[in-house]
Amino acid sequence: MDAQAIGWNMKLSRHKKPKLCNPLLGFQDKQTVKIDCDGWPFKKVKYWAGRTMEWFKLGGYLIAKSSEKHYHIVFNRFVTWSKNLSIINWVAQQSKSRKLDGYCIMQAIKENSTLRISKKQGKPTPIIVFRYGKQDKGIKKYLQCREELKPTLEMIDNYAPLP
Amino acid sequence: MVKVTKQSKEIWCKRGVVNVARDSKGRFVSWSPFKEIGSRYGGFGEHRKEIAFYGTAQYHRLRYSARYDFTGSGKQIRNAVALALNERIVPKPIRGRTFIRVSASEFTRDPYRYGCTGDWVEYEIESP
Repeated sequence: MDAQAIGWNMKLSRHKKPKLCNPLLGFQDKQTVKIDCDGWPFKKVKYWAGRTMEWFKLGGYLIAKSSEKHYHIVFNRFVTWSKNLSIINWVAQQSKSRKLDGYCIMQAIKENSTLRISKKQGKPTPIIVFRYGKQDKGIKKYLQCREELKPTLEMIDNYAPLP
Repeated sequence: MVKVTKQSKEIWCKRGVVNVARDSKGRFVSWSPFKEIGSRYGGFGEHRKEIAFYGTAQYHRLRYSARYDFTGSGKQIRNAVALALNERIVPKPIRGRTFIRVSASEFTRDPYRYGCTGDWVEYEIESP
């Protein structure tokens, strides 16, 4: 491998035989506002979802539990990408969450916001725990995507990588 | 009451592209703005999906975070994911080209244009 080709995110592994696993599947788009709340209790998630919905008139929201104290919020109204980033950054700044700051930066780099929908190393598929308000635009799209990709998710779960 | 017999997309009266309704003799009846479904926010119909297929890839001893952004219908995405898993295709470890955005059908047609044979490995990555 040419040394110049190695990028900032590349590392040389010590082990020749790595532990194989399946990659993840995520729902992504630019127009739906999505927030990843890591290490937040449910009450805090609900408070920030409600406050953001009221402040930006987002119509409704959905909370999905990805694991213990890890939640995802999806809002209903479609917005432009610049507005989307602005909303996520507003929540990160107001809630003073370091992890949400990191999430914002990653989404801005990729120019797409993503939420996991598949299993991840011991964590299950996110489960919907709370819904509020209208559910006809962004939330409908999110749920439709999850529903239509069920066979793909099952395929990934059942796939055992060859050693 | 004029009976509308034909509705078509036309460039009309300096208003740009509009839906125009005409009667049986081709006379103008009414117009309404023309809207393309999903065009405002970059979508192309309800069935088009964007899915991220991501993880940590290893090519020989080089380990890096890799990602395919597949677009297309559910079936096309499923075929692309199955192909990437079964053929062990990961994005090529070239600087700035490990995050690839490609349509699922295009990937299925020529997968080795967008990746090489490697492994998806277990490693902590900076992405949800």
